[in-house]
Order: sequence, then structure tokens, then C-alpha cells
Amino acid sequence: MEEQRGVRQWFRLDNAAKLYPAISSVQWTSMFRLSFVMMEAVSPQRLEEAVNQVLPRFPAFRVRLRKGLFWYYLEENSDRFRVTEDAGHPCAPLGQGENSGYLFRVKYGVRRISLEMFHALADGTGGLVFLKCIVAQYLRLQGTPVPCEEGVLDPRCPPNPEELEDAYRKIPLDGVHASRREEAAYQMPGTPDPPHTLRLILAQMSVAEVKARASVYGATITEYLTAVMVFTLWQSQQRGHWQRRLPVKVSVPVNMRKFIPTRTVRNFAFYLNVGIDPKLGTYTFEETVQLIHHAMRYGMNPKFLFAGIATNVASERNILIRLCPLPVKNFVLSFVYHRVGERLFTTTLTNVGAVRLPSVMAEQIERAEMMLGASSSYRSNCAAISLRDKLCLTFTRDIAETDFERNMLRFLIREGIPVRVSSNQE
Amino acid sequence: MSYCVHCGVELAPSEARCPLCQTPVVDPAAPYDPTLPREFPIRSREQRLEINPWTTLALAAVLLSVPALICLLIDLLANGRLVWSLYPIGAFGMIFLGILPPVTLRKNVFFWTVAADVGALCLYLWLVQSLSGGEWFQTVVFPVLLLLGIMLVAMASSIRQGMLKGLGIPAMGLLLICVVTLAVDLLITATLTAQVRITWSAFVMIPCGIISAMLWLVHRNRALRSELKRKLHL
Ligand SMILES: [Zn+2]
Repeated sequence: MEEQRGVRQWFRLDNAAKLYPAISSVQWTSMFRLSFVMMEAVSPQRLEEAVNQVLPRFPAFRVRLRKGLFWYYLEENSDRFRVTEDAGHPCAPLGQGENSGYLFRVKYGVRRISLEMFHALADGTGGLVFLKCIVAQYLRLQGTPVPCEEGVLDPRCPPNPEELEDAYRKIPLDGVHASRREEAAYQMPGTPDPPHTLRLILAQMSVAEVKARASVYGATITEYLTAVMVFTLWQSQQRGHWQRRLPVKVSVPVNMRKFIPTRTVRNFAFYLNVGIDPKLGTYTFEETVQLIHHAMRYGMNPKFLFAGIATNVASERNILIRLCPLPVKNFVLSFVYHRVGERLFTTTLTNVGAVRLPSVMAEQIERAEMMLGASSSYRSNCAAISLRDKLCLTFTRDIAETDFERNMLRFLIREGIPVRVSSNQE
Repeated sequence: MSYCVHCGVELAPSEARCPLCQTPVVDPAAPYDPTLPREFPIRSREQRLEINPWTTLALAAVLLSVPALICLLIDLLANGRLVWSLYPIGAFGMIFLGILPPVTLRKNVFFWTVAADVGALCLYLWLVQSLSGGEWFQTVVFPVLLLLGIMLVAMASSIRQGMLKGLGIPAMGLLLICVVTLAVDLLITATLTAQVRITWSAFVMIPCGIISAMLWLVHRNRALRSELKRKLHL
């Protein structure tokens, strides 16, 4: 954070965030959405009041995006924030000048409070802290005294500078020289939807039942769900006739706060691509779970992850890249990302994990939902989040076909896990 | 609560069809109630109108009419009357008619595209004939184009309905080439010599016909197919 007296505060984008404005366009922006479904109807006025009371505590989100000569930057935004009605398809790209330039939306449904965020501001963990604070403050305005515990920050305290840091800069990079070169992955076929379309399917299941089934294979919930995904994708790849036998890989975001303690609410995640290679023969589901289990255990070591981040940080610090004017950077970054980056995995599984809430607050919330915005390369992605015993898997896609969702959910049902679905189909 | 009879998933009461497989909800005890609130908002009006085919068409019309007008003006200014400009103008019109169905339609796109392309091409060639004289359009070009269009549509629809598959597709494709060549030959010869006679098309039809028949035989005969596989496997 850099500051000057009497001048608007401004922030550099963090390492991961530098990518997102560069690759965004009117048609597509990297967004994600976190929601709490409340027990009772939501009052829009109180919600707007709550957001505006909480915002000063989060200077990193109280910003608009500006262009510098070399990089984008975030500039303090003191306009009043307006909540909007949850209508139409979610996670639409942020329009120019929409919402006084704020890079997130807070939407109210009948009982749902949703936070749609531009990925340049924060990752899922950071967004969840923000949403928890908004909803806690909303409940306080409704008359429920919510204590500031379980990750709910006190809106009356001044912001902690540690919450605003670019945690990527804390990663020790001495002597790291590895670059992670990866093979392109299998891409699911599908008929592309027009821009601003996001079809979603929400699948609810019981945490205990999924956990019990996962433990039969000695895997965690994330490992198990990833394995189901990889296995069913591999099966449908085998049914296709003209598909090259490219590896089926799922990109699993890893919360780096596990390895480097930080209080940052901005981006601090990295990705691990795990999967199976059809060129090595056929797989049983047991084999797939074992492979994914070990690949994730191996991949989740700081050395391996830091090496991946080191490449990004090194290129960010490279003086030649830094001196490149912004439009050139945008062109190169968006070309590389859409042609190479998005092709390295078949789909994404983001697991935000179990939401911890103060008990008085948890009583007022039926479930939590997490979804990813459309991906630029026409496919279906999945995000998971759980509250108490309710695990919500949200599939979002910008293609017409539902083969991926259908195969995965049918597999879970055959495994003995009941699934309840709802959608935004017409 | 209802379950999808096909997938086994429990369906939210707001779903009329299973979102996974589109099977309608069949539950006599709890029939679908369209007045129930939806769990998620559906597409908004703006999102539905996102890609407006008429905008694309208007854009195409403008893009094509600008060069057409320029041609018209140059022709008029240079010659004082229309000499050659109707040829390019007709061509632009043909292009516009050809893109009409793929842009506007969502269903039966192939059929209407072929129909429109054949129709547009016929109109244009008829225009060329009426400007330059001759009888070649109604005697040769029109019947051939009509035949080609009908056969393409028939073949595409039988492929889509699964009646034609595997080696049957190249076999039928070759047969189509035979028929069209024969038609061209017969019509040209008939116009020029007033005799119904096969001339040069035999050189195309004989090899195509033989290969097509072989492919069809192999396609129909399971034993032969497996025998060939055994003998020729790589
Ligand atoms: Zn179904």
C-alpha cells in the first residue's frame, strides 16, 4: 500500500491480480460469486446500509480500476455503494462505469445475499471474509448481536495493513529456477453460448455422506470429488471418436495461506493441475482416486507450489516486462492466457471448504453457495463450499450441453450419495 | 419431492425438467407447479437479446450495399446508363441471401442454408443470362443446381437421422457425384446435339460407381467387413 497525504489512496495489483484486467474484455471477465441463502427474506435497504458500513474496513475492495502507463492500479473510491437485485444470469462482466466503478456487486434475491467479485480484487478466501462481514453487519442491523469471531472482522476497527499486503511477495524465492512446463489438456466438447450467458446447476449433498464415501478410498472430499470428475471426464473422452488422447486434468486452486501465514484478503492462491493420462492405458475408479490422492499430496508441498509462483513473480519483476507499455502487456498476456493458460486443464474444481461462522449467525443461514463465472474457453467449471452438513457444488457453464454435470452427478448417485439439483434453466 | 426417473437426482420443486438430461418431471403425486418461486433468476431480457441476428443482418446489408452503390454510381457516371454494374450488385444480393438462414435460424439451419444458397445462385445466374443472352440457364444450370441441392439435403438429413453411417457416407457421396455428372453431361449433350447420349461423363461415372459399389458392399456385409479387417489390419 502506498499513501500520500491529501491524495487518494492507491494500491498496486498483486501478482495474481495483474493478469485479470489484462485478459478481461467487454464479453468476458474473470468473476466468481459467493452467496449465503438466509432463513428469512432479505431487506435491500438494510443490506445496502451494511455494505456501506463494512466497506471502510476493506480499503482493498473500496476501489476502482485505473490505467497507469505500465500497469493497472486500484484507486480509492469513496462513492456510496449500491446493492442490486439478483436478476438475470450471474457473474456478468463488469460494465464500464457500472456501480460507480466498484469491482464487485452485492445482489439481493428473495432470501439470497450474493457477492460477485472481479478476481483481480481477491480470491475465494478473501471474498468469503468480506461476505461474512457484510452478512454479520446486516444481521446486526436486523437486531441479532453477532460477535466478531470465527473470521468475522470488526467493522469499527481501523483496517489492518496486513490484510492489504501482496502476500506473493512474502514467498522465499532464493535459488528457485524451476519452470513448470505442462502438456495441453483434453477440452470438453460443447456448443458455445452467446456472451453474458451463464447456465448453472446447483447440486446439494450431505458433507457426512460424501466424507464417508471418500474415506472408503482413503481420500479427502476434494480429492474424491476431483477423482470423480477426472474419471467421468475420462470415460466420456473415451467414448468420443476423434478426440486426441490428451490428459484429462482438473485445475484445483490451492490456498497459499496454508503455507505462508498472512491475513491478506486479496489474492493468495495458486493452482495445481491433477489428472490422468489416457496414453498410459485404462483406469478403474479406485486407481483414479489413488492417483489423484497422491498427486495432490505431492503437489501440495511448498517447494513445488513456490516454484510455480516464482516464475510468475520473476516475470512480474523483470525490468524489460515492467518497462513494456500497458497496451502491449495486455495484448501479450491475453494472447498467452487464452491460447496456452486455459488449455492446460480440462475444468476447474474450487473447493472453498467448510464455512466457519459464529453460531448466532449460522442459525440464520440455510446454506452457502460458491460459483465461478464463465470461463473464456467454453466449458463447465465447478465450485464447492459447505456450511454445516450441506455441501453445495455449483456447476457453471457457457456451453449448452450438460454431459459433464450429468456424468459426474450420476456417478455420485451410483456411489450411494443422494443429490438434489436446481438450476437457472428456463 | 420429485426425482428424475433417468438420473436419480432429487429435483428442486421449481424445476419442470431435469436440468441434467431434460427429462420432464413425472410425479402424479406432486406435479410441476409453474407458480412456485425459482431457486435462481433466469436469463434477463437484455441477456436474451445479447446477440441480435437482425443487427448482424443490418450490418451485412450496410456493408454490402456500400460497394453496390459505388458500382452503380461509377457505372452511371462513366456510361450514362447501366452497363456492367448489375453483375456485382446481383452478386452482393446473392451473398446477402446466402447468409440469411445461418444468421437468423436456429433449427434446420443446413436445409435452409442449402435452399437459400441454391435459390440465390439460381436468381443470380438467371440475371446474368437475361443480361447477356442465351438459354443455358433453364436448359442446364437450373436443373443441375436443383438436383444438387435436393441430393445434398437428402444426404445430410439421412446422416443426421442415423440412416447413413460409416462407409455408407463416402459410398453415397460418390454416387451423388455420379448422378450430378450424368445430369450435366446429358443436359449439355441434349442442348447441343438434341440427342440423349452419354459422352464424357462415363469416365467419371465408371470409377466413382465402382468404388461406391465396393464401399457399399463392404458397408452392408458384416462378414466381408470382418474378413477385410482381418486380412488388412495394420
Ligand atoms: Zn435427469
